[in-house]
Amino acid sequence: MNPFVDYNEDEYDLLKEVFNMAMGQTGKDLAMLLKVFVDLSVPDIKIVPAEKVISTVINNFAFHEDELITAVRQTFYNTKNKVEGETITLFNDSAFATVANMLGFEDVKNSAGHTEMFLDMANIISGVSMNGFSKQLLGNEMVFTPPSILNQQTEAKKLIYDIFMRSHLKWDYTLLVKIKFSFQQNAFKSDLLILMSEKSIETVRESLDKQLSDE
Amino acid sequence: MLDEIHKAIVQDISIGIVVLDSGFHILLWNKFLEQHSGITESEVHGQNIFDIFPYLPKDWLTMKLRSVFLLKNFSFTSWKQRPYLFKFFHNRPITGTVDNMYQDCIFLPIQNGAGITYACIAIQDMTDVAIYEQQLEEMKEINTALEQMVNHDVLTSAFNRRHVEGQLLVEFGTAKRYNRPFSVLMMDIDFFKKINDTYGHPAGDEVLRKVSKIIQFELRTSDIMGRYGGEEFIALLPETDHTGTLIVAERIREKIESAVIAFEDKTIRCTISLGISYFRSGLNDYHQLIQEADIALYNSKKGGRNRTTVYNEPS
Repeated sequence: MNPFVDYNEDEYDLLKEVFNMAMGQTGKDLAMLLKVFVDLSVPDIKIVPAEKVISTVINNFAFHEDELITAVRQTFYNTKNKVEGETITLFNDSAFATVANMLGFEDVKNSAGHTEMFLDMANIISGVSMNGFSKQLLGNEMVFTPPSILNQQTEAKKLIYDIFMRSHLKWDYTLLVKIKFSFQQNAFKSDLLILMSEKSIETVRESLDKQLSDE
Repeated sequence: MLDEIHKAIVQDISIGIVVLDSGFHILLWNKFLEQHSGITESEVHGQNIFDIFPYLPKDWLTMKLRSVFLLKNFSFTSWKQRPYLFKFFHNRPITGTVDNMYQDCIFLPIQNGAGITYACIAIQDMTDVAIYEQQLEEMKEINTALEQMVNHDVLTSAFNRRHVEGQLLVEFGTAKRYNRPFSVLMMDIDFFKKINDTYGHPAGDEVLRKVSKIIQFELRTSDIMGRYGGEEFIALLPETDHTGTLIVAERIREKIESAVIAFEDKTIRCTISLGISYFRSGLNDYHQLIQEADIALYNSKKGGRNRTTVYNEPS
């Protein structure tokens, strides 16, 4: 394993700019699609060692530690530029009614319907955000795998601890990006976590350095 | 030449492929779809998909297609949430026990040279998988119901994870309230997968039982021990600080290292890695104790296994 090198100040600045621009477009796209005003936080971006992921996620979390939330994961990859990772979208379960209407679901009565709603919403949030990032930095689009449920209706803190238990993670570092989404005055809120693989930390660095040297 | 190959693949592949324009008109309907719908390509070409299939949930499907056309987003459906999008015949006309094909669908944004976006829907027949998985799910539900009724792990007779976590909440509360020493010990059998692969799963089960017994024997009566995961065990040691726990942990480790486990005609040896965390005032959350013991356990593995690590607070 190569010794790890953090991004320097210029690289972080450019990366933040890339995400800000990507998320600006994402907000517009979501508003056009869902016909609702979308509130997005400034993205929180850092390379983080595996044992620090839990504390990084929980710090400045959209949810109270006991709130019941659902986590949806989805893989993205850009084969041309060798960038890959997963998004984890966290939803408050009480957002059902809001989401159902937005996505064209009729009266959702069963748990399969609830699950599908969250999968659809996570797919939209994750897809639009990662495509935005990919177009901004890499010049082309991402490919996605189907989203799936990681954990359903679990207390927020417990869920994060379960997902990111150090001994279950087969890697040492990740590029972690955190973005908060909300619509309808917080009737719907969601935390989007983007985790890129160790390999991607390097390929993203290459793309950043290329853009920096072109300036 | 490649064009002809592409065409042949799209037509002959055992996946349904339909392409829609932004007005939802069908531009391509491959042979798989003809076979499973009983509707030919010429009958649907240029027609609005909602006219051909009026049972399709229009609002929801329109929304999905909008995200493809407007945002060039991928979209997906899974049989697990929605058994099918299209009511098609499945591939077991004689022995099939269900009425319709179960389907996984992928919606792909496709752009032509002129920058116009089409939606390609790829439909996979998941009927066989669905039937097997449903049987598995039923068995899992029965297992889970049973586990909820008991506090013990069926294989080793140690407490199960659910019970130990309940106890952890209680013991943590006590330690915090009275400011008492309290430790958590996590243990994981080294290379357990290799043991299963080398000696077989029944031998692996016997290893789990023996290790569990040894751990149990070395702990004191006030300690609580349980099976935490596949090859993972956890012990709660009230009234014990990390120095005391380290002594117990090393005793357990040595006993397991020197144990000879007999199964049928085989003799098996193994080692375990251990991680210790301990309560300090200022800790508000029992989850943190588990996380710290887990990090210490991870460090034991990384450090070469067959050893105990005490959690070190980063400065």
